[in-house]
This record gives sequence, C-alpha cells and structure tokens, in this order.
Amino acid sequence: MTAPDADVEPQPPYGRVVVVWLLVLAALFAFQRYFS
Amino acid sequence: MHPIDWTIIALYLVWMVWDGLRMTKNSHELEGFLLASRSLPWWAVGLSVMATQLSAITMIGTTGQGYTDGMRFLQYYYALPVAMIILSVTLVPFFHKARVFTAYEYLERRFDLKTRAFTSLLFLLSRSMSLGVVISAPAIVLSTVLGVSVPATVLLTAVPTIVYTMFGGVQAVTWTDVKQMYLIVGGLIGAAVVLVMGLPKDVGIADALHIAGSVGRLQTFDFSFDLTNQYTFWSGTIAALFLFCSYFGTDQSQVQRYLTAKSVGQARSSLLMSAYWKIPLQALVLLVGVGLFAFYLFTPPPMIFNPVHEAEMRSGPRAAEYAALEQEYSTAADARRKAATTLAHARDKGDAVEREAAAVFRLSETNTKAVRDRAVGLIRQSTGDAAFNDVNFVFPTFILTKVPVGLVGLLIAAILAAAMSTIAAELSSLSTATVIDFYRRFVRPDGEDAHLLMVSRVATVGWGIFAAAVAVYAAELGSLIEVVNRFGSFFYGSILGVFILAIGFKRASGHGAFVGLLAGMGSVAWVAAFTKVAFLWHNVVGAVVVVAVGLLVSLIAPTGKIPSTEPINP
Repeated sequence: MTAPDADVEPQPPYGRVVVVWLLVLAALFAFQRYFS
Repeated sequence: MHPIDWTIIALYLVWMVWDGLRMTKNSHELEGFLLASRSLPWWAVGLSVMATQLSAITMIGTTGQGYTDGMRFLQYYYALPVAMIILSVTLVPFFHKARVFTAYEYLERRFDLKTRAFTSLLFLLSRSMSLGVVISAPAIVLSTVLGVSVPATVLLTAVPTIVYTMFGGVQAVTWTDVKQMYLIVGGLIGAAVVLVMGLPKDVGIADALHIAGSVGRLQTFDFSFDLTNQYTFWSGTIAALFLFCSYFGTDQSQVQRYLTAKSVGQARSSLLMSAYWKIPLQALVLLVGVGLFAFYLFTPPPMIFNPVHEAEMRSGPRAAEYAALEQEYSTAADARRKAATTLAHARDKGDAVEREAAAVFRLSETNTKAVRDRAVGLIRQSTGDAAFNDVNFVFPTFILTKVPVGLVGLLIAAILAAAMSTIAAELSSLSTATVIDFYRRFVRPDGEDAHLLMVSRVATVGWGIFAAAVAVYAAELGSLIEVVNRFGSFFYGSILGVFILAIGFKRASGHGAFVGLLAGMGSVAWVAAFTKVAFLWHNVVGAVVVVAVGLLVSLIAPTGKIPSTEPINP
C-alpha cells in the first residue's frame, strides 16, 4: 500500500488548533489577572 | 551527590546507548539511516520535534529565568501554533511530495545549485556552532555543581549521543527522543511536587501564586509595543511567527524530524502536537522557575547560586566586603520571608489589609534584589567577568541541595536527556546536509548506498568531535555563547524569505533568491549593528528584504527555472 497523496489526504482540524490556542491564551490571561 | 544518584545517571546513559543501538538493524540503507525509510508514526515524530526544540538550556536557563524574571518569556511562544498551521499547509506537503532528504535539496529543484549550496552551508555553519553551545551551556553548570571538569561533562553528554546516533541513525534519534521527552516531563513534574511540598504548612499553592503575582512574576502578557523589548505580546505573535516558520520549516534539524513520518498527514499531525502542547509545556518549565522563587521566599536562599564564584569570593581579597553583603542579604531575605508570610495570611482579611501586605512585600523584594544585584556587581568587578550571571545555576543548585536522594539522579538525567535529544537530532541533520547537499552532489553523485551510509556515519562522528571541541572552547570564553546565538539570528529570517519566494512566487528566479538572500543577511547585520531593535524582529527584517529584493531581481534577471519544479508542486 502506498502513502496517500498530499492532494487527496484530508487536512488536519486546523480550526480546532486555533480554538485550543485561543483558549490557552485566554486561560493564561485569566491566570495573570487572578493572581496579580 | 549520593552514589544512588550517580547510579541512576549511569543507568540512564547505558539505557540510552542500548536503546539507540537496538535501532542499528533498521539502518543499513541510506534512506533508513537518514530518514527511517519514511516510516515513523506521527506521535513519535511529534515528541521528537518537541524534544529537539527543548534543550538543556531550556531546563536550566528558562527555570532560572522564571526565578529571576517570572513568566514573561512565555510570550515568545505565542505564535508557535499559528506557525505550525502555516507550515502544515505550505512547506510540509512540498517537502514530502518532493521526497527530498534535506530542505535545501528542494531549493535546487526550484531555483539553482548556488542557492541550495549556500543555504545548506549557512545551516552547517550556524548549526554546528550552536551545537557547541547546546553542549557547552549545561556542561559548564553540571561541572560546577557536580565538581568535575568541563571536558568531563562535555564527554559525558556528547560521547553516548554520538555513539547511538552514528550506529542507529535517525531511528535511534527519534526513539531515544521519545523516552527522553517522557523523562524530561516526569522530571519537571517531580521538581514541581518537591517545590510545593517545600512550602510552609500554612502557605498553600494559591497563596504562593498570589505572592509571586504581586511582584509581577506571573505576568504572561505585555501589550506595550516596543521594538527594543524582546518579550512582548507583539514580538511573540508577529516577530516570533517568522522565527518559528523559519526554524520548523527550513532548519534541517527540524525538517528531518517530519520527513521521517509515514505520510504528509502524519507529518502534519506531528507538527500539530507542538501546536497543542508547546505553550503548556513551556508554562510548566517557567512555573517551576516561579515555584523556585516561592520556595526560596520561605527557605533561606544563597545570595549567589554559583558555588565556585561564591567560594572564590569568600576566600578572595574582597572577602570582608562580600561577607558584609551576605549578612545584609540574610537580613533582607528574612524580612522578605516575614512579609511573604504576612501577605499569605492577609488574603482572607479583606482587600485593604491584603493591599497593604502586598505593598510591604514588594518593598522587601526590592530591597532583597538590590543587595543581590550589588553582590553580582562585586563579583563582576572582582573576576573581571562583565557577563557574570548565575541564572543558569538556580535550578541545578536547588536539585543538589533540596531534592531527596534518587530524584536528584533522575533530575540530572532529565537535564542530560534534554541536552542529548537536541544534540542527537542536530548531529543527524548536520550529517545529512553534509552528505546529501555536498558529498553526494559534488564528490560522488553516483556513490553506492553502502558508501554514502559509511560517509554519513563518519560525518556524524566528525561533527560530534567538532561540536565537543567548540563546547570546551566556548566554556573558556563565556561571551562566545552570545556571539553564536546572534550569529544564528542573522540569517534565520533571510532563509525563510528564500522559501517564501520558492513556494509563494512563481516569478521568483534563482538569481533573485540568491541576491535577495545576500541583501537580507546584510540588512539584518546592519539592523543588529546600528539599532537597538530586539533580535526577534531581525527575522522579520530578513524575510521581508529577501522577498522584496528577490522579486525585484527576478523581474530584472529571470532565469526560467520554474518548469522543473512543477512535478513536485502539491
């Protein structure tokens, strides 16, 4: 079996990465505000 | 250090060499040795990507930074997830479909030989020098705290790594990286637990965090726009985006990690692992540093964390002056301890009481820091070492003086693991670029697989010896470390600019890319020499100038190389 072609291989869930990234930044901001 | 801890370190080193050598059987072909026959699962590649990026300098330098400066440094990583998405969409499919061994190999197909050879040469120069620093920085610290010579700690780190990388190739590098990553995270969690348990009974984790936060140690966002300030939200999200796109997208030490993945999808997933986990992991490292700050509020801290300099000062010509400072520091630290305890107890007594206690604590912290700064100044005067800094010694000193037997060995092994995972990946990538971009291209284009494999092994050992020699030399010339770090930042952005031209602009020509690269590097050198712009922004300058000059020259002198790249465009 050959590796799937880049053209047809489904893209990873980039939207989920962006959402998690924004949540992490929001959590860090809340962390800074709460403890300072 | 207790014999049990030495035994744990010895067992760790034997385990790594044995584990790496087990992979030799799969590395008897060139593609197997250099790229694991493009067969590795995404999670192993992803852990290897993270382990390569997390060096021993992160373990000892970043924890020390957390202790002295708090969590500001975390902003440096804010753009990393975005960089990983950009690379997953753009460069990763290009490299995989082109079936290249090195990132620079692609540039010859797209542009010309001179652009490929020059970028690969820049990589070899900068990466080999920085590898020396990667070995040197922890070797200096470990030699001081363990009481052995620098050449001994350099050999302790470099020799096992060279052995398993030479025999096992990239498979040994990746699978040892996986175990080393587990050890690093386990060690950091272990250290965090010891720090929490070391707090007084009447001071909880939340109290300690409030105390650290009251003096700005938990500041993770600085929205001021200041081009001379290294760590702000803007430098972390704009300038660092260029740095991470360049590092993960064009530096062979990282590109080679995901070229070993089974498919484009697996390579993308391996990069996205860093997108999810890098910021939390870096936050953990910095929180250990903040934990050290909280711990030493309630446990008398040494004024200076470098035991060698401390001993020199106590027996040197300015011993009386130093002793007076130590006495002053002890008094100031004791006042700070009382203020911290009052602040911890004031948290449930209303806002006004808490605000007043926080103000008293801030003043006591300022006083303590002022005495420590004077001590650092005295050491700089006495030793003539204007760059003296003990930040890298905070975490190792804590490990050797406050951590229980057994965990000490585990944590020193974790520092060695962080160093070895980076060294192995860099050795493997240096060997690959040497053989693929130079030896096979210029010396033996028709070289047989077995011969090229042998040359790859020799190149691995050769670069290992060179880097170890640089490490010992760098240890004697402390300021060289900074020079090497700046040297690398001169062309990171510029090389990214060449790749932007390659995949983003069909009109870009080989001459354009080459001249653009030279102009980009020149611009960065000018900015570094004549302005105070922080080095992260140099990456933006380099990339923008390369693209602008490259496009201009391409319009004036097109070379028409584009058709040969079409089959590899995704």
